[in-house]
Amino acid sequence: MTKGSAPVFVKLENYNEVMKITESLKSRITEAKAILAKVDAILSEEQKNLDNWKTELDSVEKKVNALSDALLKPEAQ
Amino acid sequence: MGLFSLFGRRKSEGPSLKEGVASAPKPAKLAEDAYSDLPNLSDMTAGHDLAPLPELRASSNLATSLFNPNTDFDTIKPIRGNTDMAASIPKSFEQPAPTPRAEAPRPKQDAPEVLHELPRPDAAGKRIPEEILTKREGKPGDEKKAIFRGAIGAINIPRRGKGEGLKLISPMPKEPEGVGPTAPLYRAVREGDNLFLDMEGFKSLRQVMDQMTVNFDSIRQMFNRMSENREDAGRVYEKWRKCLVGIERRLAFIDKAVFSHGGGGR
Repeated sequence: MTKGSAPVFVKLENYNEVMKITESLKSRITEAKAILAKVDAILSEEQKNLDNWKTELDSVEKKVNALSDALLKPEAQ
Repeated sequence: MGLFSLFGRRKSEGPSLKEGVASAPKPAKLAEDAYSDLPNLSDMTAGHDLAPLPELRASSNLATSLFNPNTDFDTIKPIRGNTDMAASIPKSFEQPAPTPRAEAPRPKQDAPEVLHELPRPDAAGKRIPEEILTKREGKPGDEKKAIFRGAIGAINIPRRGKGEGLKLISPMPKEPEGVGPTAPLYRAVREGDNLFLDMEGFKSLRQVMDQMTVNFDSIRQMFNRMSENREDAGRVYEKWRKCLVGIERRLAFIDKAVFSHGGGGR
């Protein structure tokens, strides 16, 4: 140990408690990840429903247009 | 044109590439016999002996004195009345066995000055249970230091004292590629419910905590934005549902008006 190079250490108290909290943090992060996966699944389902709704609405629109055409432009007899 | 007229000369009068430039004069004697005066290596006999090199004197610089076994850095005396601080100062590694070259006498005045009298950890009666080597966030300039420390960690260096108190945990876990340079090690000493981190480790820990705070701020902002989006989406869904209900009611009216009373009789 030479002059000017003596190591300086910082004391951190309650180390065991900090480590316990760190472990609980890990489990919380795992839980948060699982919840995020559920949210992702819900959003995917929602997107799928939106696509289906759009398809159904397009189909309804076509039928309404066909009905409108049938009612407004009857064949001449 | 102006430049040529300034010197009273026309452009066509200047030297052309075909004329060339007069080459520099060759040395008068540039042949193999020019070196004939120099002796050949085989001719260097005792008559051409060089002067003997001067012997190295006993080194007096500090760098050499660090490897001198006579350098006694362990004579640092404890601070009077401060035994708590003793546990916070870990022991350094023991010097390796001196080589015969390093046993040259060293002037006494080269020893470093002792500014403070510090106790040894063992001297305070507190044994350090273990020394933990962990990683910290790497800085770009710490690669050489990391390599050096890794090399030091790989060498089985005998420990000072009885060798029970300190324990090196190595090798350090590998950092995933692409994250940054190899993370250097820092030293931490655990004692009971306290942890003693060196300054590099403490700075690294501080940086990690700051980064996590920034991460959580970002996550909170994203969550608030998503919550607002969900509220907007709920309102839009409700509006869309009302729109669909109106479409359905009108379709039902058309169905009833066209097909129930006069038409095809459904």
